[in-house]
Amino acid sequence: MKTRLLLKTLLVSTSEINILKYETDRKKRNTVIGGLVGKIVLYLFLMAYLVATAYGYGIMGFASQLPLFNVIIISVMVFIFAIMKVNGYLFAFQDYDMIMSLPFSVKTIVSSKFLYMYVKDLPWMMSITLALMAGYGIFEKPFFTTYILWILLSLVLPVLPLIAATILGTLFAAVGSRFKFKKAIQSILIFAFIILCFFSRFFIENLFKNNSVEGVLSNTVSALDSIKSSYPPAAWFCDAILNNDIWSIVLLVLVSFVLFEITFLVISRFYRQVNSRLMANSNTKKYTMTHLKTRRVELSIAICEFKRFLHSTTYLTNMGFGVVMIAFLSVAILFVDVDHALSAMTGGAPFAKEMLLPAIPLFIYFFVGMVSTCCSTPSLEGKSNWILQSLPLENKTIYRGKMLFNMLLYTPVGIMGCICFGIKCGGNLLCVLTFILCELALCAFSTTWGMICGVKFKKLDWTNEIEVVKQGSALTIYLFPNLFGTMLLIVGAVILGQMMSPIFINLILTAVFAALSLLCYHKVVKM
Amino acid sequence: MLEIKNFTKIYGKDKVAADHVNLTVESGDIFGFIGHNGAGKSTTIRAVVGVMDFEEGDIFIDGHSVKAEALECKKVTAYIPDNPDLYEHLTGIQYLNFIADVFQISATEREASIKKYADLFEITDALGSLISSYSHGMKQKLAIISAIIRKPKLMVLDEPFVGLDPKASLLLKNIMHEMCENGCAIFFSTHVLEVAQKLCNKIAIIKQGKIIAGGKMEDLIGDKSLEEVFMEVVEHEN
Repeated sequence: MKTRLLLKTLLVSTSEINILKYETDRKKRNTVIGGLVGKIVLYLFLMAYLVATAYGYGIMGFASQLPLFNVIIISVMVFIFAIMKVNGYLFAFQDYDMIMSLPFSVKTIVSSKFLYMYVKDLPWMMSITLALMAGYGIFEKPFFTTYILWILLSLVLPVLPLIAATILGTLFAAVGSRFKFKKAIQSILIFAFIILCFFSRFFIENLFKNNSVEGVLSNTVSALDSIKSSYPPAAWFCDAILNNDIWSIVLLVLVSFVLFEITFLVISRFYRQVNSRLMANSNTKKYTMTHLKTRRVELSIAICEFKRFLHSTTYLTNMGFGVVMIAFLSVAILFVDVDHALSAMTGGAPFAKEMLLPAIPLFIYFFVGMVSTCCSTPSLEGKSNWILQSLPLENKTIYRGKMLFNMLLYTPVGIMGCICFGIKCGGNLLCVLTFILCELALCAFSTTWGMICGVKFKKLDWTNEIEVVKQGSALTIYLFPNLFGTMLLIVGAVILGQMMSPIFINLILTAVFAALSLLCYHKVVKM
Repeated sequence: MLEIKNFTKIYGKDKVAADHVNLTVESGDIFGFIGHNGAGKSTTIRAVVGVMDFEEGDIFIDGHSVKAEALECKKVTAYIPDNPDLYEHLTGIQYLNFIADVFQISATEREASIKKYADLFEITDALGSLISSYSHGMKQKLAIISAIIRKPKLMVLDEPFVGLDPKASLLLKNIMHEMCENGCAIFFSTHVLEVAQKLCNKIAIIKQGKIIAGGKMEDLIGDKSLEEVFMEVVEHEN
């Protein structure tokens, strides 16, 4: 009962619906409406994309495997996203003192925070599941109860991966809290874990590949079956949907519920202890005045932003993920035979490394440009917003400083990726130079477009930075068109690469994105 | 130095937070702005420092309109809010250096003034620590130092004595006097009427967004205490 009360309060206090109901400022209302409409449109896009994907699987004869795809996509995405945000939701949050001083049990507080995280994920989880269900319906034409069962069980599906992420997040927080640089240790542990997951996935995938395309298809079925045996909830969901197996339904619900109860019973035992350690600030030794450096205002703002970035595990892991991945991949590719790796990845399909050449800057951008600190940084000012607002700085100076930070964060690793991938895929000097130019234009676009989204959908009254780093309207509006656009461009660049030189393709891309960046920059300085 | 003309702020459709407020603060004035909670003090102050938009009236700082020339106004103004939410991820010295960068204060000048005021407020040792580790009072002291080092012509403070220890309060009062002697104007809100009576040469009382009394301190209170006058004026307006 109390969990419900706390969850309801948490949801209401951060809900945009509440602003729509009670806010009388038309400008604020319009921003919220704009954000909501934008999110709905993007969820519809996501659904359309997944319906098309499901249709494709159906044509390939995989329609009966769509329930399993549903489990895999939801579980993997929930788990990966949750691992990066669970820390911000459960530990050292802004209203910790206030909530802990209220007469709620620790278990109530932790579980309501967990459920809050679950509810916030529901819109996109439901977009995925409804789209795949529609695809399944088109080919299998099941009885209507199957649809109801699909929807209800899809609501249960995310619980187990969320619990797994919570357990790991708690472990990372507990370990990190014992060090002086708590947040840095937590971030390193999260990054290390994700990289480990990424490469083990690659390794497992390779186990199921052989050298024929037909083999890939037949082995996919056996791979899917092996997923069912290694992750029983996947088998339970599929049995429930395909065979209306009551036992599977009961098992899925019961196991999720029991694990939920046990997990939070255990976590609540040492939750206060971990939080106390995380929130304890150690003072450095006595400061003595030394020589102070003077800097340009924009650089000073960028450095300020860098400190904020380093100081927040949520900000660092979510915005730094692509940077770490590309840095890691760039080094890794130097020690890998690209032809051999490609052959393994495509099951021996006729795919030469040179075919990838035109898409290299886009591939790197897929990692470094999918998020932009500029989307979150105007909102991250939060209660400190008065500082910049009361200083004699034009908005454009502030935005330039924040954009400078974004460029400094993403471009060096982007260039490094272009050089390493370019050379290993057989690009000549001129080719690599055009990649670098293209990457710079892409980073500039990511920065300026991110800034527009960040300023347009600024939210200062957050209580947990996750709200603006991971879930804000700004990030959603920035991310989805960028994601799908980049995927299409990658495919387009590879196809065009068969007809024209990668240098020419990248020069066109550079010109287009440089022009878009300029347009966005002009918009930013007028905001 | 500060001239507020017909300033009106309405929240939403009908919540009048400030209703045709008029007041003037000259260079060398220490101007106290007093009133109940929710009377409109912070709204007026936030509009003066350019943090909040307003629809009606105008505010002039050093002859510049806050609406039309916000940047010029901010160049000569320093603001200390009631709850100084500073950048918790910076150390004290990093924050002060950031402010000094914004105001383009030379390295030698910033080093000297930071050292002087940090020593006076006894927070030099803590300047190397993260602001998130500071107490409310220490954050308040840091906000005060960041305001003083920019040598403003107008200093605006919202409840500046809340959270300060007695020694720091006395120090701040002395600094306020010293700054006024050098031509700075100080405009601050407070609930502590004894402090206002001792410190200010001018005062304005605000109630439900309207200035109900104001002027020179001695003219306003005569032989009475500010507390008595405040209660009389507020009761009379009821």
